[in-house]
Parts: sequence; structure tokens; C-alpha cells
Amino acid sequence: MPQNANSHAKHYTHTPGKTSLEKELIESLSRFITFRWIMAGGIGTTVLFVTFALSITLPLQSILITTLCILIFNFFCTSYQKHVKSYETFANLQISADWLALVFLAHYTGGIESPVICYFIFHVIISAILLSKKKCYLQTTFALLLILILSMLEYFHIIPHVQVKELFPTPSYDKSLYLVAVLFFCVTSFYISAYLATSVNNRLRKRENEVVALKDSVTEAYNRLEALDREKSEFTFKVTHELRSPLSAIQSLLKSIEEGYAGEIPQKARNLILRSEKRTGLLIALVNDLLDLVSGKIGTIREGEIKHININEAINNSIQLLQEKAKAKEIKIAFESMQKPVFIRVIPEDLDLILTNLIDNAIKYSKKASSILIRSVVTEKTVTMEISDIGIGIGEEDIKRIFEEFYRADNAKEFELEGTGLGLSIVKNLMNRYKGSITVQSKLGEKTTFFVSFPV
Amino acid sequence: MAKQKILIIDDDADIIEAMRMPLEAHSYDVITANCGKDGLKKAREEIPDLIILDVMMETDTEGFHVAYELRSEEPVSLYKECKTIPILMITAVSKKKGMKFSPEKDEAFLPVDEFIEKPIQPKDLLKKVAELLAGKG
Repeated sequence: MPQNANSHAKHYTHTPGKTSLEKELIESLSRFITFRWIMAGGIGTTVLFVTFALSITLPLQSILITTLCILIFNFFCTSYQKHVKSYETFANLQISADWLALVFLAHYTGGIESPVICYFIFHVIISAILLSKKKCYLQTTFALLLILILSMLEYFHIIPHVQVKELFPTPSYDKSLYLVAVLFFCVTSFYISAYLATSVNNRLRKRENEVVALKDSVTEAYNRLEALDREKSEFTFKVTHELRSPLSAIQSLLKSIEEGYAGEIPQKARNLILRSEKRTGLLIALVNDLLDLVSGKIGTIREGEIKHININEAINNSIQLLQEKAKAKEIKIAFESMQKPVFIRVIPEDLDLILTNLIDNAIKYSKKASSILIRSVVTEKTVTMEISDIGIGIGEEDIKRIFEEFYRADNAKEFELEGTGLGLSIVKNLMNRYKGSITVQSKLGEKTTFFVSFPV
Repeated sequence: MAKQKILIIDDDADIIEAMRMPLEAHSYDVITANCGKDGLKKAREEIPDLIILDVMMETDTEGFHVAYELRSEEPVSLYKECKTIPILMITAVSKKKGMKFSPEKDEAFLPVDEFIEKPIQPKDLLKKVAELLAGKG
């Protein structure tokens, strides 16, 4: 049966620990109850319409009383619904009660001659949906017994027969052949309906169970993968952290030797030391980038660390920090700041990391003596920072890949030998952390603009 | 003039060595300690002119605790005489990321006078040491 995703989710939260079959039953039951309100309303209006508009004589009072009973019963069902222990018993009870009400309605509208008999089919289908196959057949048998008893009681004049003269001028309820024929059609149509409905429903249920099992195993696999990824990141973090101290020590020692504090060294040795220093320097940069990248992945944001940061101030600080590097390439950095200060909620170090990485990249890949433009744009929902440079640009194919870890475009490698290929991954990870976004506009050899947007 | 005495507190012997070389070459008297506890003891006994202190030793914040002890406001503090000794703190923050700590910003809660980053650049070290000692004098 069709299930609305929303209501499914709702049930999931309301009834934890229930199997999907139970959840489905609960949902169907509440639909069944709604259906009964409509049915009772329909019976009431139809009987009034038939009596007053079509002037057909019916025992109005008895039918209305029966309808009222249905309404009262349904009211109880509605209020009792939430406290039910066994949903299957609850469904059985409702269906049995409905059969009884239908038998009364059939009796008041002409007994075995009444068209109400057709309505029994609905409940055969409903029990096939709500109950197990066996219970559905039992309920169907119970309904047939009720019809049989009604027709016998009327046939033997134990209870009076209601003759709807306008519809059936001559009574047929006391003709045994008619009775046998109607009962035969009832038995066959009810059981065939029960058979068809249960087999269709069983198939659906089986398929649904398969889907649920599949979904569970996919969810489990996903969770396991996520845990593994986390473990991997934590391991990387520990390892890189361990690497940092010895690398710092090596670099510090090399620097002291190079500067002659361990005694005079020949120029050749000095050159070799300079080379070693350069390599360790690159390693340290890689370790630092890896630490930034991984801590962005595994770090959960603690509420206390988040501060209201004026982005104009943060941008100015980052520019300040990289000014020397820019000057070395004669690059001018212009910042078009907004008049009003704009605040975002962020961990200050994270914002610094995002800005310095992007501005550092801009400087790195700019042409000599060009200029970098930084802008901040505020809309209703986002604060966007734009960083543009006129440099080597990014090719169409590379744009898709530049946020990948360790990826460096060929033209970037050619232009600037050094680089870990982690800077943009670090920024992207951090932007994910704040549910923000990073996009880029560029063409090979042309202007490049990075856009980072924070939600406000 | 007597040699100025510098106490280096760091658990990494190689970092100590890397600092000792340029400092001794510039006629400073260098004494060392390889943990916070030993560092505090030596500070009290030797009353150096300057203390160079690593942030992370056994724990990530051992250096901070040492700094707090040295600058304690308690009237019965064991380190009363060390209260005015300038402290140069060694941090391991990446250049790109910028200074995570700055004396101006963090002075209120971090009682140190200056920071230096690892890996140690001898020129930078000597400059900061000279400045701190001059400021003190």
C-alpha cells in the first residue's frame, strides 16, 4: 500500500522499537478509523436522502440508532487507539464490530434482499490488509455466518422481515431457491475476494520486508564506513602530530648548523644543509596542512569555541599576515569592505584558516605585480567573501578536481613547484562544518574568483 | 659584566640543543630542564634572567601550568623571586595559520611575555631574547 514518507517518519519517532510490520498495521488501523467516520456519515446522509428525497419507506429510527452506535464505537476506537497493546486484536475487534453493524443495517434495509450485502466485500479486503491470511478467512467465515443467521431468522419468521416496497414489491426472502442462490454468490464472492486480496497483500508485504532489510543493511554499512573513516582520520591525526615534533627538532638543528653555531662549515656542506632544510620545511608544511585538514574532519564544534566574528576584521588580519609574501611579488591586495561590520558565528581559528589559505593561494598563483581583490557580499541568508586574482587560472577539467585532497593542477605545479595540494580541501572541509559552501569561477590563464558563503 | 643566565625548559633535548648553540655563541649562560617540575626547581634555585618555556611537554598544557606557577599572585608562593623573570614561550603553530597566541591578545590569561614558533630560527630567537632582556634591564 502506498505510504507517505512523512507519516512513516512520524510513526518511526512515535513508536520506537516497533517492527515495520507493526508500524504498518498501526498506520492502516488509523486509516481504517478515518474510513469509518466517512462510512457512518455516508450511511446517515444516504438514509435521510432516500427517506425524504426519494420517499422510500425505511425504519429510519433503527438505522439512525445503528449509525449512532457506529459513531460511538468509532469514538472509542479513536481515543483507545494510543493505549492499545495488541494491534491485531484491536483490528479483529473493529472488523467484527463492523460486521455486526452491517448485519443490522442489512436487516433494516431488507435483509437478504438488501443491497447493503455488497458492502461486506469492503471488510473482506480490509481484513486481508490488516490481518494474517488465516484470520482474514476466519473473519470472512464469521461474516458469512452472520448473513446466514440473518437470512434464516427472517426465513423462519423468528425476527420480522423489513420489506422495502419501493425497491422490491414482492418479497423474496422466504423463497428458498433465491436464498440459496444469494448465499452461494455471497460465499463464492467473499472467499474469492479474500483469496485475491490476501495474496496481493502478502506479496506486497514480502517485498516491503525485503526493502526494509535492504535499507537496514545499507544504513549499517554506511555507519560502519563512517566509523572507519573517522578512525582513519584519528589515526592520521595522531601520526602526523607525532611527526611534527621530530621534524621541528631536525629543522631547528639544521638552522643552527647552517648559521655556523656548530663551528665553521665548508660551503659545499652548507649547500647540502640548505637543501635538507628546504625538504624538511616542505615536510613540516605538509604535516601542518594534514593536521588542519584532519582536525577539520574529526573535530566537533564545541559551543564555547564559537564566537561572533566581524568578517571585515578577520579579512584585514589575514591580509596583514600575508602582506609580506604579497610584497615580495609586488602584488597589491585591495579589500572592498562593507560600511557596516558584519558578524558571523564561527571558531576564529577556522575562519583564519579559510581566509589565509585562499589569500595565500591567490598570492601564490598571481602574476607578478598584479592585484588581488577581496570583497564581502551580504544577502539575507548568506555572507559571501570573494577572493579574485589575476594569475594562471584554472582549466575546466581541473575545476572539478581542485577540492580533492592532494590534487594539484598541472599548470599550478608548473608555476609553483611547492604545494601540498591540501589547502582547498582544508577550506572545503571547514566550510562543510559550517554548512557553508565554496565555489570557484575561472578559466585557464584568466581571472580566478573563489566564493565562500556562510549561512547567517 | 656577568653572563646573563637563561633557563630553557623543554622535554625535547634536540630543541634545547638547537637553542643552546646560538645562545651560547652569543655569550649567554644556558641552563636546562627537561620537564616542568625540574624547570620550576631550577628557576627557584638559579633565578635566571630569562626563561624559555615549551608549551607542550608531558601534557599539552604543561608549559601553561609552569607559567602560572611562576607568576602566581599567592603571597606564600615559592616562586616570589621569579615573578618578574621574562618568559619566552615556544609554540608549535604553523606559519600559515598565523599566531594562535599573541601577547597583546592573550596577556590577560597567559602570563608570558613573548612567543616563538617551532622550528626555531636562531636569528628570531636571538632577537627576542635580546629584546626581553633589554626590557627587563
